[in-house]
Amino acid sequence: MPATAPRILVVDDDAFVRRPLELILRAEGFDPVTACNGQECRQRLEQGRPDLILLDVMMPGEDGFSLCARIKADPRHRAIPVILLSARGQEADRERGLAAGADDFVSKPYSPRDLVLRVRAALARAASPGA
Amino acid sequence: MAQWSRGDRTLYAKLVYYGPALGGKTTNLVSLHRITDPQGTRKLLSLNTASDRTLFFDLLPFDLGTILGYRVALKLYTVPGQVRYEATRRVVLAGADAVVFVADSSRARRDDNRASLESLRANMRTNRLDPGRVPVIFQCNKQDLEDAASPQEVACWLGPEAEHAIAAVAVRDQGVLETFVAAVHAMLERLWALADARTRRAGALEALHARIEQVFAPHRERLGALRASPAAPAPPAASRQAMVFEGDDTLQQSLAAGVRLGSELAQVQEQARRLQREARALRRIHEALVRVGASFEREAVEQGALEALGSTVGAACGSLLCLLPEKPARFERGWRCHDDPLRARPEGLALLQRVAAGRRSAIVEDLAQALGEPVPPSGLRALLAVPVPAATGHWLLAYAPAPDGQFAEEDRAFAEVVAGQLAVGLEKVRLYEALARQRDALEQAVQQRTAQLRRAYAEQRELERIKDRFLANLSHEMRTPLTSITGAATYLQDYEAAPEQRQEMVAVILSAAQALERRLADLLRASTLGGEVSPTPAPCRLREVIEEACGLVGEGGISVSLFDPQALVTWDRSLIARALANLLDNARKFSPPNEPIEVRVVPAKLSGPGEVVPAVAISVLDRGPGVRPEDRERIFLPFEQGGDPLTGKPPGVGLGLHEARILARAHGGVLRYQERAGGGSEFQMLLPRTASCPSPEQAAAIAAHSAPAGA
Repeated sequence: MPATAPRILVVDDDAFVRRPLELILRAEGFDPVTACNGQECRQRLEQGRPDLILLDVMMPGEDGFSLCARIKADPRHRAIPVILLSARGQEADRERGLAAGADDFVSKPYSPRDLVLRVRAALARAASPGA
Repeated sequence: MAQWSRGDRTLYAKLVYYGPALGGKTTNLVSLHRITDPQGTRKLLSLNTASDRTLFFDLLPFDLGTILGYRVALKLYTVPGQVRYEATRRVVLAGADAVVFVADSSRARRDDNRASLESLRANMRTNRLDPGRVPVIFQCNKQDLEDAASPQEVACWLGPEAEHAIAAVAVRDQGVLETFVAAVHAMLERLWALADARTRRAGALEALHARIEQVFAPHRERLGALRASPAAPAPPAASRQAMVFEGDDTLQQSLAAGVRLGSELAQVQEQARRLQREARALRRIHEALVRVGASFEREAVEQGALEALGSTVGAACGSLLCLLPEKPARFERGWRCHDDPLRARPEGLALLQRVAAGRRSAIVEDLAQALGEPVPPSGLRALLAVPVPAATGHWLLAYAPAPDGQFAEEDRAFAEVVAGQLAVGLEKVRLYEALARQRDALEQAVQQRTAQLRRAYAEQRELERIKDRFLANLSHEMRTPLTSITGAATYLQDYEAAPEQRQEMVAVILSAAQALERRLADLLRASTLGGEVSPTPAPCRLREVIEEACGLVGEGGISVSLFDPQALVTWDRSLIARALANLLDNARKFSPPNEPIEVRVVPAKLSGPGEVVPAVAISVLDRGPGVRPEDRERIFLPFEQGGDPLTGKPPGVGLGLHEARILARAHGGVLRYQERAGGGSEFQMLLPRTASCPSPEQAAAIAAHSAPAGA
């Protein structure tokens, strides 16, 4: 784990989902920042590179798949791990998410502890790309 | 065979003198010649030898004068009596119209007479001379011999046919003319019967006989005169005054050899012709059987049978009839005719019924006679009728052409074979048709069932689709609040939280729980929507309905304009309020924040079936993104929602508009979407002021309630 707290960008249009996740991540020693739609997400990316992005699929404006693909297409952000969060619960969405370049896919409702483990695992993979 | 030649109005007929050798056949002809032609204008052609009186034949042309408008030209022949000239006898006998059998009355020659009569019968058979058509006249010649048998005795030798044998002594001209006249009578009577109707119309049978007597009267007179004069009887040798070849044996032998060869040639030719005829008949039978056997179609089977029969037996036309007792005769099919020639005529039909009643094949030789009419039907002479086995009442009929067409036993036998084939063919057709009917019925049943299954499958698929849509919606609608609850509860359980964060998380849990509760209510409503909605309308103020709806969704951000705050309507208040609340809820989901939702209520007209009723139009307007044209009907379906499923899906399970429309319709109204001028959506509920489909009890209650208000 790096010396400074890893910055996690949480993108979700529902504040009631966003807020508990933000509090848990902070309590786990991360540095969470939030965005409620695609536009805000892009602004946060410009303000400072996050170490990982938690991205909701269904959002007004631009959906999570499209946003993920856009991030992975940008050379500056390509290396940032993206975990997609979806409430749609459809198996096809997992494939679609991975096709869009997502590093992991988690269905809502998730266990926050499990999500934290996945976040750590993704960060570790990102830190040692050869592994 | 006799010919009625219309062209030269002449009846050509042939009379043959038959009998044992040296029985007096030629003597008969010579005597006849002497009696009837004393001047010798006609020639008697005779070939004589020393040992045999007649080697070849004698020929006496004889003109009977005019009878029934026809000149009757007779040819009189004798045959050689000797046993070895059988072939010659057969040839001479061919085509005879009558036969005179000259028996030798000498008792010593009894067996010769018998043998000769046997030979005559055999040769008639060979020549296809029907004893019923060709009369045989018997003469007992040489009654002047010492051992002469009486005519009765001769009849005993020869059988009952010879009963009326005419006694004769030909050398003395006795019995000769009588025999000849008797033969002419019998022959012409038969020929008259065989003639066509027009000929027969020329004179009755009695007139015919009278005419014959008249013709022979001068000859009888002359004969009387000859007998009266003692010098008259001439010796037989002297009587041979016609052209007679005598004595030259070489000539006789050459002639005999020539005759024999000619006779054999004729025989061979006849045989060849017969074989050709038989081959043709067999080919036709074969073709007919192939046609009848190869087809599954009634028409081809029936036509094939008729054609095979008609062409083989030489018919003019033929038909297939259904002849059942007590029923009209039904014409099934014709060959060379468009209807059965007898069926249409009462007497004809009666004849057919008589034949059918016999239940066996039959030949009617003379249709005119059978019908009791002078005119046979349309140039037809004989009928051949055979029942078709196993096809009840069906008869194959063939008609022989006039004037002298006829059917023989072979024709009948062949017709029965054809009828048998036809029966097999018809049974095959019947089975095939039954099979085809069953197959068609089965095919139809399969098609119907397939269509039913296809519809059921489509309905099933639609239901599946609705279920999937519902589950997907519901899944999302419940997963999101569950995520909030899990997240908040986990945080509270696992981490040290400041009091204000603790408060915040509890609020998140409560809010999410409320959302879940709403979804549960949606679910319950969805489960009741399948059934009938039966409103209970009651008079109420329009304003109260609007207020109740706003109360259901929360007052904020709704501006109402109502044309008459006191307006009364007769609706099921709570149902219309729910429908309106659904519209408001929907508008709020899509409307941008800070844009108020408008409710406009105006009076309107609603065209019902046959009448226009006063109505109220309630419009809910928003400034949201509007509904894409392709979605404008879809959004009213259950569990369908507008917007992109990923980015534009509103909250809820997609029942609001569906339910609102059902409720509006239950009141006799409509719910429709239109674009709002300046952007956004307008959902308009058009409801009759009085719900148009209340039950009778409700209608009575409304009337009772309204009466005091009106007073």
